[in-house]
Amino acid sequence: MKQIIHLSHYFFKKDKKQILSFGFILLITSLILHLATVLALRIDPAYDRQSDELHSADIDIVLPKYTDSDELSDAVCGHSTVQQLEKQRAILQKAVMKDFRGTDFELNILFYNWDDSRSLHQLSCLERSEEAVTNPVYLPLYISEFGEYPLNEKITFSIDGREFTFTVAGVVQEMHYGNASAEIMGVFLPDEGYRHLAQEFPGSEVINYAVRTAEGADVQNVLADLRQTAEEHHSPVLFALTGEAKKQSRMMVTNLLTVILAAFAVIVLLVSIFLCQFRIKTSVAEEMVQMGVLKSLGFTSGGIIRAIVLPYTLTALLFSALGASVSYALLPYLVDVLALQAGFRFDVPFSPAAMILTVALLTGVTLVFTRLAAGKLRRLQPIAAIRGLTEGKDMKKNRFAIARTPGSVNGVLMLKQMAASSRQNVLLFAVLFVMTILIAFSGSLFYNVIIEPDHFMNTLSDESPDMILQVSSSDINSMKQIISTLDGAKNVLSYSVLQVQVEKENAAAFVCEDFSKTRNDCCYEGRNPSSGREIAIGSALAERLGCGIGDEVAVTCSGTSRSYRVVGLVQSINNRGEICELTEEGFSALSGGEKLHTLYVYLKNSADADEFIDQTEAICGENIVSAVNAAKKQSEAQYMYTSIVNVVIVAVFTVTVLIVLLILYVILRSMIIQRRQEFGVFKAIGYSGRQLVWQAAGSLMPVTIAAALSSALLGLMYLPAVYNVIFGMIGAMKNHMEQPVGVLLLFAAAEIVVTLLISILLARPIKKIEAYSLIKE
Amino acid sequence: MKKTFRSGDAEQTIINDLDLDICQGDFTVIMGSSGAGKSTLLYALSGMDKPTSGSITFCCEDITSYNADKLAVFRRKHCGFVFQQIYLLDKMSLMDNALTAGLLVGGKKKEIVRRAEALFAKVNLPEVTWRKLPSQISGGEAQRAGIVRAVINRPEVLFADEPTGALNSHNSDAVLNVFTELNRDGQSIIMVTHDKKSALRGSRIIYLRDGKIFGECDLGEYTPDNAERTGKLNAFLTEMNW
Ligand SMILES: Nc1ncnc2c1ncn2[C@@H]1O[C@H](COP(=O)(O)OP(=O)(O)OP(=O)(O)O)[C@@H](O)[C@H]1O
Ligand SMILES: [Mg+2]
Repeated sequence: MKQIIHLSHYFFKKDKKQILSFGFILLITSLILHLATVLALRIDPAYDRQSDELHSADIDIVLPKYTDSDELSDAVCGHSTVQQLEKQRAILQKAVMKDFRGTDFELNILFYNWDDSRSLHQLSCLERSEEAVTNPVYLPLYISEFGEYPLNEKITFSIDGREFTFTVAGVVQEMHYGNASAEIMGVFLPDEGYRHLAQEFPGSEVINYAVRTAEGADVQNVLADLRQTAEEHHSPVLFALTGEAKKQSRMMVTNLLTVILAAFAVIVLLVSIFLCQFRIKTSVAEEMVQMGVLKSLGFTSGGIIRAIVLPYTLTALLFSALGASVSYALLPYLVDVLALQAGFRFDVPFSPAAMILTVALLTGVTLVFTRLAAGKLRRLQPIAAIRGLTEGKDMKKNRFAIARTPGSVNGVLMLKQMAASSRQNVLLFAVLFVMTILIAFSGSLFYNVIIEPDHFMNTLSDESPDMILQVSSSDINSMKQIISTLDGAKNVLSYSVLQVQVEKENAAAFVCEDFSKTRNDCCYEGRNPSSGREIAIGSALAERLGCGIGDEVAVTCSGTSRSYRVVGLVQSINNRGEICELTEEGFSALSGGEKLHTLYVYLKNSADADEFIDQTEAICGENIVSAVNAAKKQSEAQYMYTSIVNVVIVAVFTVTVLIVLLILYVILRSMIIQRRQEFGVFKAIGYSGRQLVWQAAGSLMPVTIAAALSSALLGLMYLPAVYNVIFGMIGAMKNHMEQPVGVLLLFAAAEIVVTLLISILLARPIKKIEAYSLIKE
Repeated sequence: MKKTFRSGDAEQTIINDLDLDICQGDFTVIMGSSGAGKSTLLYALSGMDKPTSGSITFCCEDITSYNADKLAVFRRKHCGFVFQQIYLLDKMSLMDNALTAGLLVGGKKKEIVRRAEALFAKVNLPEVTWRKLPSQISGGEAQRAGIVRAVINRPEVLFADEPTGALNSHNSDAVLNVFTELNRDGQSIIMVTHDKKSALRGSRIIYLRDGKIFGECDLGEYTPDNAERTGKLNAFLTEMNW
């Protein structure tokens, strides 16, 4: 044992720098893997714990207060799986939050009474104003932080064209609603403010039925039953939300990030496996004679292998533990971003499980692969090794004969050098190939999120015009006429979003005069409705109703029902697939000719939406109820994704450069050590240092270029599948992401240039090899 | 010139105020005991290493001030090298070894290939041999290929550091014959050797001791089995205490 440790020490000293660079790559792997593991192991339970602590309900149903009755609540309580019911009063209004992260944000708001006591959906006050403020409001963390309304600041809601301004008196943690992608959220007014608002909008009071179900109950089924119950009691369900749905929307970004980090970690892990295999194989080849001598001295193969493997395993152990520890320094930043998204605060305590898992995995993988690589020592005959009979096996042919290969002598020498080092080529190809997968992915993200943001945004969002106009005029058509002639207008569509019921399910109905003129075609199967009898339904509805294209469904709106034929399936991530599309003709037949009064305005590229709004208001101001700069709202939402993608791209490039740097370091160092004498001869013949540096760096380029380009082009094939998986996770059946060859090649080219620059830099020590040193050997 | 080496604190003077002229067309032989500084002198003369002080002038050109890259260009144009350990590039054929040097200076590839072929013929290496890799040939063949590589650029000076040191006597003779023949065709040669048989080929013998020229002997042109030259050399070496 002592001898083996001694031998091990020798191997470590000999390969110190290369083993350390292996360690650094493992450090990076461990850092990323540990982040992913902590997120996967910790955040989901943290969410559930928070939900439990605040006694979140499993199902929420919002009903108009005037339809509420004791019979209804008794009936709900009577459901076999309902364990607890709490009725919470609120005022429901569609409101525009002014200056929500710099834009106006419209959504349904439930104004709850802060002074009502609650047992379900409890609130925990995170911050509270010291002094008394006028018109106090308590905001959920998500609105306060993401909307940027800090404590003691003002927040203005515009309801029905009237503005109500409050002061943020407190920020509360709630686990009742989702985040921006949900269409409903709650805020809390003290009794006085609540009563004032209730007076302003009589009849807008609602009751939220917060329901806790028994463990293991099928929440979707229970919800369907409760809808049925409500209907039987003539009470329309205005909104329904399940715990699962809101968790999905709150944790979307976190889950995505976890998956991406894990994939990232796997890729870097692959790289480190390639690296340690390369190093050990090269080292065994370099030390063939010594190995033979060791064997002849009586060392067993197993002993030598253990001595070789030991430094790598110890390095893996040490550096993966180090990487995991370093990741704790990064976690708070990451968690902050995620917490902003998820709307609840979680601190990440030390997670021994994640740590042990990461370190054990990395060390184990290193042990297995180094043993495999060193395994060929077993077959080594001592005499063969000492006589050098095992060498020269790979070089039997004069590849790229200079006389017959076209090109300058320097170029041919590069090719010769490349042909002579197959092991190094394999490593380089493998590493660059997998790194290019990351590069291609970030290139594709860059294109789809930053250059052509519509591809990404259209996948996530519903129809997105430049401007949304609520008009009061009974003659919506003349308004349309006027606006479409205005400077900068490209197209004006009548497009409204209303609440209907499809069979027994609530759904948002997108009603449009002509779906073919919309910007974002969210139909993923079949087609959009084009006549009065046709409908397209959302993925979740189709699943729940068990119907598909060709089936008939009944749609109910304010008491009337009418049946439609399903002609297509559409997706809506915002509404979790609970939507349908109807033509204007089809809807008016249902609503008895009810007038729609929302116009979607599409502008020419050059036009500015704010200016256009001013222009519109100047011309037909009296007929306009509200004008929303939807483009701006969209670009605000986009800003968040853009900044995330920027971070991803920078991170990918940093990691790639680091890894390429470390790999090239190992390759070029091995090369310089092995070919020291050869470089000396070249110098004696009269090759200059610069020529040799370029030759060494250049000999890596064919493989680099082949790996980067082939991987980038393969990206055209695998990236759509990757996006399908990623978007599938958040419920998108189709996505609009495109794979532009140009951008992928551009990113691959950037990688090639970086590789070349790093190689030249790392090959510089060749300059210091002196021709003169030959005579000393 | 003067050359000192520093190892640790101690400074060791290897070449001490040496003054030497080398003439074109000569076959100069440098001799001396081991550690006398023969190799050090040879590599300083050829621009592989720099003297600590003093200067080296090549055809009226002072090469002492050249930087590494300029020296590389100087070597490829004006110097050829033959090493004791031969140092052929082991991943390429003998022909490619020669071309690696030959194409460095420039010129038409075809012409240089033809020149290399002619040189291989001259040193008695047939095509089957020069197509081989260094690991597949004998030491004598390798050294002859080394000479082809060294002279392919028609250097003004051919430097050789114990070119026969690693060869048996048969192979040595073959290599030395090539040297003699080249010298007859006008090639200037500077050769370091330990070996009397090799030294006999030279026209001028320089004996080094303590970093200085200790003695010098003019042998005139080599002819085989010339007892007078052999006697003269023997006498000189005895005088030098060899
Ligand atoms: N880079 C160096 N650093 C320190 N000392 C050196 C260095 N190179 C050579 N020497 C010393 O200079 C002296 C002369 O070396 P050199 O190689 O010139 O001897 P030589 O005459 O060629 O001997 P040999 O016949 O054994 O080849 C030796 O004592 C050697 O130790
Ligand atoms: Mg010597």
